[in-house]
Amino acid sequence: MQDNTLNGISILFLFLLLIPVIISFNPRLSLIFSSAIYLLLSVFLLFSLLFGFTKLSLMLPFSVQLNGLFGLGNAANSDHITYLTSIPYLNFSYLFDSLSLLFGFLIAFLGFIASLYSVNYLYEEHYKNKSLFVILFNGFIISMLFVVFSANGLSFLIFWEIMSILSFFLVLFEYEKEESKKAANLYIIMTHIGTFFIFLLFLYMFTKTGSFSFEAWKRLGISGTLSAAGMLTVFILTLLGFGMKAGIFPLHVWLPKAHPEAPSGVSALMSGIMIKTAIYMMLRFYFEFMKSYGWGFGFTILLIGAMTLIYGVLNAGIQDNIKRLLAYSSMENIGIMLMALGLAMIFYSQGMYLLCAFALMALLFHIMNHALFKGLLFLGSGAIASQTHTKDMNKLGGLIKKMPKVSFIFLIGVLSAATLPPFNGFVSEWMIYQSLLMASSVNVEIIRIFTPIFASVMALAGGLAALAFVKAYGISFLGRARSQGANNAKEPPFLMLASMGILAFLCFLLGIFSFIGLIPINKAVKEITNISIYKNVAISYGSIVTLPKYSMGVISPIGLLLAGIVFIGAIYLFIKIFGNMKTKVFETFACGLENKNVYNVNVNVSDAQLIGQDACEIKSNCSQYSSAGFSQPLRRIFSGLYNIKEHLINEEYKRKYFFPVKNYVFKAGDLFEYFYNSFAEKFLEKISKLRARIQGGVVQTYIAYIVGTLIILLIWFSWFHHTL
Amino acid sequence: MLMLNNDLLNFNAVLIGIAQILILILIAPFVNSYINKIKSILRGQQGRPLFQGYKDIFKLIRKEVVLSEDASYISRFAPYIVFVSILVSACFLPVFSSNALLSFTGDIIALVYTIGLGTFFMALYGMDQASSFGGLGSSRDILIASLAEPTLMLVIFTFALQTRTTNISRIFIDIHKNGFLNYPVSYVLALMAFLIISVAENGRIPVDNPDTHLELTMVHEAMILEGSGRHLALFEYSSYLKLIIFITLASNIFLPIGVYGGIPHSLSSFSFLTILYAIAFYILKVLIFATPIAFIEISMAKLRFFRVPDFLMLGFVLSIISLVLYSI
Repeated sequence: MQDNTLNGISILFLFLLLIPVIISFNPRLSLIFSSAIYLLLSVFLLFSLLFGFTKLSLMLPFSVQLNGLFGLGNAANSDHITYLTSIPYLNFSYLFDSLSLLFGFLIAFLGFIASLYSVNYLYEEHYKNKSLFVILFNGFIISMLFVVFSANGLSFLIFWEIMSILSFFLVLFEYEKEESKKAANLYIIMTHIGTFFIFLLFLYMFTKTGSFSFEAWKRLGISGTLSAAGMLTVFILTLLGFGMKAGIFPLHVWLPKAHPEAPSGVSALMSGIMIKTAIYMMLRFYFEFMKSYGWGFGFTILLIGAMTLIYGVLNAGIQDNIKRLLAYSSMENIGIMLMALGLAMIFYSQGMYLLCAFALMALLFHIMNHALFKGLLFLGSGAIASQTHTKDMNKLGGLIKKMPKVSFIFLIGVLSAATLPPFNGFVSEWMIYQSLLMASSVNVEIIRIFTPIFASVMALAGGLAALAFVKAYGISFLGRARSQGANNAKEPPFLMLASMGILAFLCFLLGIFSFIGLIPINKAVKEITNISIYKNVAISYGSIVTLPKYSMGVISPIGLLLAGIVFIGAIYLFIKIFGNMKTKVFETFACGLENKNVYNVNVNVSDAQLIGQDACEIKSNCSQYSSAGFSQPLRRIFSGLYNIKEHLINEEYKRKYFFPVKNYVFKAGDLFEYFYNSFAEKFLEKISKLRARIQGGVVQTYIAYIVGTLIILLIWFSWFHHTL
Repeated sequence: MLMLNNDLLNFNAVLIGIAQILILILIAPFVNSYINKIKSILRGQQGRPLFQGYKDIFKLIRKEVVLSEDASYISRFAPYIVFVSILVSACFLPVFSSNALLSFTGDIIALVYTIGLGTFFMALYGMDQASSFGGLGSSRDILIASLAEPTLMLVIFTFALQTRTTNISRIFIDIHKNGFLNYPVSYVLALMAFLIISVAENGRIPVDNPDTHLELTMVHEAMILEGSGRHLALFEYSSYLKLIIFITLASNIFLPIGVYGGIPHSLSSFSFLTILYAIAFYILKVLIFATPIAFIEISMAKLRFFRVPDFLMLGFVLSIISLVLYSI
């Protein structure tokens, strides 16, 4: 009965999901329809996560008939569906356990927000082939859903590839742009290298179990027959394969290039949830398919997480492209998640399941929070880009007056991303700090010594993230417009605002009443560790508590907020009674320069011709700080970790001394991209030199090759073949 | 957990908590004036009177605010948010008693991040008026704050590891009970690291000069250069409070004596004399810890901005040594 229900519901949703594709000739209608479906789907997935499937047969009485209509086979387990195909080993089997339902819920929910946003966004950005966008966009979300619900290695790989290729097309969506082409190229190459390792990994698992089904792999994990060398192999392959998708430290190069190039709704999905499908598979491998490994694996992940964190946040600070800044910040957050994952693995390997449950809860909560606030920030950056026609922060500024609603929503996103109270990022970061503190009770000397150092790394990253987001918000929204485009910006249409507003509200809600978010997460944690720690963690007054036995800590975000409100009221009253509430508005002192129609010279000139068009009519302030100027101290202090090119070019040589026109060119590249490129260059050079020597273009040499081959073949034939 | 809930319901504990906040608010301008006075005396000047801080604040509150025409709602709200974030984090601190007012809402990590909220909004305020100094100050200040943060967290974790809690009151009670003589070297190094961090976070001399408005060297002052009237008063007051928070944290952790202990269960058993002693002792401790700041400020020159990371690195190394000594 239950299987039939499940089958029926999934078929129903598949049909519903096809409709947007079918009616894609009308993109607006199609997107509205798909957002409704994703909302329905996310509610359904959340409901089934919280209450289980058993109550669903009441919801849809006709599902049985639907199922009968198609006559599909069922698996034995209640949360599995399997469709057999005629290709050996290829079964399309799906599993709906709490972990996959949680990720599925996040995908569907973010899909709902992104499609709601895209209804207006597509028309704001004036894309040419909107129908194509709708098809790719829906296909991308559906393939992500299939990725997390897949329960068979081969079918997983098929959907993983579909997901990668559709996102590749979406990155390439503005194919006329040189930047998009380069980014998409890099993305498809790197993601395929990752898939190659995943394929190797799955083949390795196949040789160990003789099956591609996750069920069999799970049995392998429970039986614990995998040798130490086997586990090391699996560990390295998962790290390379899934790490490529997640964007971990040395494999991150594609992430900050590809995410900014996609349309904003897609960037939100890619950063918000796609990179986390890799974390999802890591969870499956490290907690279900492997068992009783040493603490070294967890420690390695912790270390890689710390490096990803620092590298990401340092690079986020110096970016001028607002979407690239956000992409690097995603890398930073992946680092935080990996640190939590590493801690959970350490606890898991030491058999401390209670602590493992806490760390996992922190991890999953951060995944949820990051999906919300990074989705919000990418959507907000899309709103900026569509109104001002630039993503370069050196050309933004003053948007808070032009688009006050977006600025307020974006401020909430920025505060959450900078992990400040009372927003959601802070709570999950606090939980990860507490997990780090708990790691001191692990009976391994190295971990005990290193935990405070990891905490200080996280603190440094937190501070630098605040720097990056002060820059992102301060340069783009505050001050004065730095270009004509920013000066002409207007508030975006309603649906864009509404979709961002929902996310902002959730960021605030989960920051204050964090226990709401912890309820569904607890289900997934319970499934992995068999411990339900929700009651231990959340108590009344909306407090979050750690496990008192290991480390004692309490925060109550609601208490923080209330105290803040009380104090603000008190101060306001105090000043009202004893002070002066008058305000006079006057011009800013501009260092003696005139506040007239001049253009800020300090501009990132990746496309220098725009200067000529922009230098007119706007009231700008010459001495206002620019984005490149804001991050200059950071660039200088950590200069060894960046790959920066900056020049000051004299534009007009005659006016060398009096009012010279100068052009400042600044380009921030990724250090590792530079390494890879120079390595690849040298490698290719060697190869091509070798090739040039072999294929010299002299006919005699080619004849010599033919003669040589003939001789070798004759020898081989006469020596080996006569034995037959 | 039970204990904390009981504390929450205990009316007297709430009274003491409120008294602690009031004490902090009251003595904050005084301590700043005290440091200035000592500096003046060391320079051979007479110096401003000890109550100048209060006069300044009242003078500023009564003046009208002049806002830039480019300023947005950020400028109107930021001073309040900055001040309140500092004030809320002050509520997590045990001052003269071991029980803080809001010890159940925030721990020492929350304290760092709540102060961070203030820094964040102050940096936004600096950029809101489209002036060059504001951006300059924001850029420098937030960088120094973020570079100081790892050392602060390391010192915090050193204590949290020993006491197995991040709750400030608990850390404080534990240290008070066990005494710091168990790990003397470790404590001295941690204290030195903490001093460096306090100097950096509060913009005192080797890192930033609070008395100057020279554009080359300004950090904190540059951000609030456009501030005036009540906004400036709030910014000034929050910097006083921030200093007193760090001094309180240092004096209570590194000199854990003379603290008002238990919570009386009825109003009649309040012994006001003991409380007064504790308060007097607390103020004495604060003054003891404030004096070296004046000496450092008078005897050192301000560092070049790009030397500041080296100075902070010194703090980081000291805290690492302290941690390693503790671990061994």
